[in-house]
Amino acid sequence: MKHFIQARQDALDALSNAEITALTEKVCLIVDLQGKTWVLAKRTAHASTDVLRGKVTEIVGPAADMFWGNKVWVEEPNLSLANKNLYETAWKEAHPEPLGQERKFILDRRLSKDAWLGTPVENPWPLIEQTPPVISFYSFKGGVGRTTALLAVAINLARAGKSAVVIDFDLEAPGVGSSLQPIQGVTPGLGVLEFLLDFPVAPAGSLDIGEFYHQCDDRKIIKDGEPIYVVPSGEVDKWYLEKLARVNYEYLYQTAGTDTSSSPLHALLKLLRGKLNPDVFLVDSRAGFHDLGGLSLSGIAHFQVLFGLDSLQSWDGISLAVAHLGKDMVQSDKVQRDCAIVHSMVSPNASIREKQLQRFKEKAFQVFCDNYYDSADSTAGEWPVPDPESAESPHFPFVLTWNEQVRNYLSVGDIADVLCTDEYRALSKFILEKVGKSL
Amino acid sequence: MTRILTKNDAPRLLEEISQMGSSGSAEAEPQHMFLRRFLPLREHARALDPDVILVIGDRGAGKTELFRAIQLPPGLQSIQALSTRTLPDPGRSSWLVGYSSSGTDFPAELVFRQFSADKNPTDLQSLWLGLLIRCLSRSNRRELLAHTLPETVRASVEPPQLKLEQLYHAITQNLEPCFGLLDQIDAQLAGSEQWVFISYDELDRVSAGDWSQLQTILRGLVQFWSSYVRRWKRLRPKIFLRKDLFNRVALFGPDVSKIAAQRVELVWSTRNLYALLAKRLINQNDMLRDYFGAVMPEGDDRGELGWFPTAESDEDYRKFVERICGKFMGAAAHKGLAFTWILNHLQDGNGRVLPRSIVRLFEKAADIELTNRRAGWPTLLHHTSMRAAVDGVSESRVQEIENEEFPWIRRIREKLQSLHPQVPIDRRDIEQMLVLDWQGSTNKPPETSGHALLQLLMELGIFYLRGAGRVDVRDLYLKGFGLKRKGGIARPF
Repeated sequence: MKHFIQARQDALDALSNAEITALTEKVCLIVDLQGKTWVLAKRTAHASTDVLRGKVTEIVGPAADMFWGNKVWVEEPNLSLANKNLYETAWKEAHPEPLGQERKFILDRRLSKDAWLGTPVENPWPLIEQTPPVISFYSFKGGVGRTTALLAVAINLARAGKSAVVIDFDLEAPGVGSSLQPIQGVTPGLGVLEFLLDFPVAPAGSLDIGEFYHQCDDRKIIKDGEPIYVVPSGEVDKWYLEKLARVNYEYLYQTAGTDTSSSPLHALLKLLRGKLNPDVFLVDSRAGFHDLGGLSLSGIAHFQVLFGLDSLQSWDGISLAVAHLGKDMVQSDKVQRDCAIVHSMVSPNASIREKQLQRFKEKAFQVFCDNYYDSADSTAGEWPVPDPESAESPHFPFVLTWNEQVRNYLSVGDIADVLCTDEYRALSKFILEKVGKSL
Repeated sequence: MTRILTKNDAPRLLEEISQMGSSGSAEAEPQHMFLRRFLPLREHARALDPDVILVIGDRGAGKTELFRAIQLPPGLQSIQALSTRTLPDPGRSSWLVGYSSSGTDFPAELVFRQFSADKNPTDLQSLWLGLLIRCLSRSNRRELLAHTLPETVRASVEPPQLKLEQLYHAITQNLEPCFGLLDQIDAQLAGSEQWVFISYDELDRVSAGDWSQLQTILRGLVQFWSSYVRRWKRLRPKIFLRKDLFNRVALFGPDVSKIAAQRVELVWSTRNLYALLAKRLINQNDMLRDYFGAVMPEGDDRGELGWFPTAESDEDYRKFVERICGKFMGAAAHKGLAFTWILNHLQDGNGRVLPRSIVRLFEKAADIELTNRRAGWPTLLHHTSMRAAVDGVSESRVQEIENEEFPWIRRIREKLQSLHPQVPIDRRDIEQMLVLDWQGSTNKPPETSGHALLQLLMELGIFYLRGAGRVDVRDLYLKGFGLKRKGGIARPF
């Protein structure tokens, strides 16, 4: 018995069979929502439709095993307009597999994760000197210090007299929004979730973006600096789950990719920018393979900061994120998405620390060579394999040491000063420098 | 009055930068140019301390420049001004050359090798004693020696043509009077509050092709001074050694430990590297001074030394660097800051940057820009030119190592180039590649097994060890050795 991935791959390989090749101009494996596979084929002028169907069923069927959907669509020369349009749409959405040829294709239909697996989306605006960067903070696992690091950047910016907008994309486990409360003890109000539901149905221009963010001007946090604008995940009340259940990530992805004028995520950012004109946007991405996390890594953000630990589990996830930012782009002949990696929660114990640092750095370089960098002699690439010790390269980790005080705090005000010194301040500068900003 | 420059001045500025002079030797430069290019460091000042015996530094770290500078009053004064201790009054100090490969004062390498072939380090001590007496006899101490030197010794030290065997025999037969003489000289110096410093430089050229003999000769020198450095208070040695030679000498046991504590290492900090670059550029031509204008780091004009940087921190040089290279190493910030990129990419496997490398980088980048101007005014060096220039620095560096330091590296480079290895590479694989037949070679490495040779190359900073037993090279040596980097994803088209 074959499992899904094996069946999908074997079916795809089977389409290269010489007998099928002889009868077709091009072929496409269609994988539906349940993983069942069908075939779409454009036959040659002299081939017989029945013979082709028979051959495909005979060869691809067993290859796909229990995932065979037992359907073969054959595109023939004289089609009705309706069918012609249908086939054209299918061919247009399909991807050549492998890239660089025009005979064999695949079309995956998914329930979700299109943001991770589909084509990249556009930035909300180009990143130039005058525009605010959107920086996404991502980790594969929770509890690695991602949100704390984001808070550090926000607070350092605020204290330096610069304005930041913090957006909590972690709808499933809201966090940063309540860390930066409007008034101590008052929970945040409307946020991302409500906006995602309201925007698609609201008349154009009718939404007041001011309803979806609050201002944190706790002097313990910002001292005499600028307030921090916060878009929380949403109002965490008894209706929160009801609202969450209605978020259509497929719709979010499709609009972000094809028609950004109707994209709720793009609209959220643009409206905030129009209203607040901040220096920087800081997005707390959901950990793991959540769709919103994928969206922010797919182009909503200009720069991604990846947080990882020196563990196999962390690397499994980070590798996929790096591949999404790098390999997926390279193999589509696009430029890699910009990123940096943070080695988080490093032991302060000298003897353990040294080994951890070396291991992480080695692994980071390997992961990036396998999943991000162009080959060294590439002339077209933005990031050919670099000198492993080149500190500006995306694989070269920023080191963040475990800090007892920062790990155990009741409110952000208790650690705000710590977040403005030493490593956290250095991390803030490191991240901001990557997008051409400074404190 | 500062002239306002325009983009039409760019070609002339680039020409000046391309001629900053990293390729010439400090010895050959005319004095006025040398002083304008020389940057004294605190480490140099420490080297002048009478208690410091060893001055350690790689070739290109500035030992020869220091050696030359201390023989020129303005150079010496500029160094002494940086000392935190009271140093000997320059008016009461003489600097003599105990050994140098420049000129014909000292025997040729082959002569040295032939002489030392049947000698041990203790024998070589006598030779170094003789050379000390010789350099004193040819100095203004001559009158002291005239009536006290035994005739055979005088006959061996006075003629311009030095015969090593003759000197050696004369000394070994007259040890007591020779030491008595030096004791007398030292006492006289102490009485008149004077100093004599004896410098020993380019010691690797004493026997470049034969390591075992080089070790014998060097060990003799180190043994000599470790034995007598406390005997004489005013006769003080300065032994300039390459880092790898020092490491080898250190293996020789207790002799060097007596003087190793009294050493200074010439290691260049970020501030010093950029200060040197600034001094070179600004003293190269007034037009460059005008170009930098308001972003010139703090400094003042010091006569023969030219413009002299006084700004103390790394950050004081940032705007100066950004003026010429731009802020970023690409169209946007994520490609890195030029200020940090430059030194990061000139480091060897031990994390060291040589001053010659940074000067050469700018020269080569300027050359590239002259051929294909890409930078937009007022930037002079485009980031692509800087990146390409690193390759040029790599090739020059490897050539320099082959021609001036380790001729045996040529065979290793040629072997590697023929095999086209990619880095990182497993340690055992590269050790295998480094196995060559050195029988009959005139230039042999000190070690010939693949393992030991790799170890040596790592000490020299050419290769470095990464995790999981793999070996890699920094960009500084990548192109020069004909290596390529492994990995990465191929684009589809």
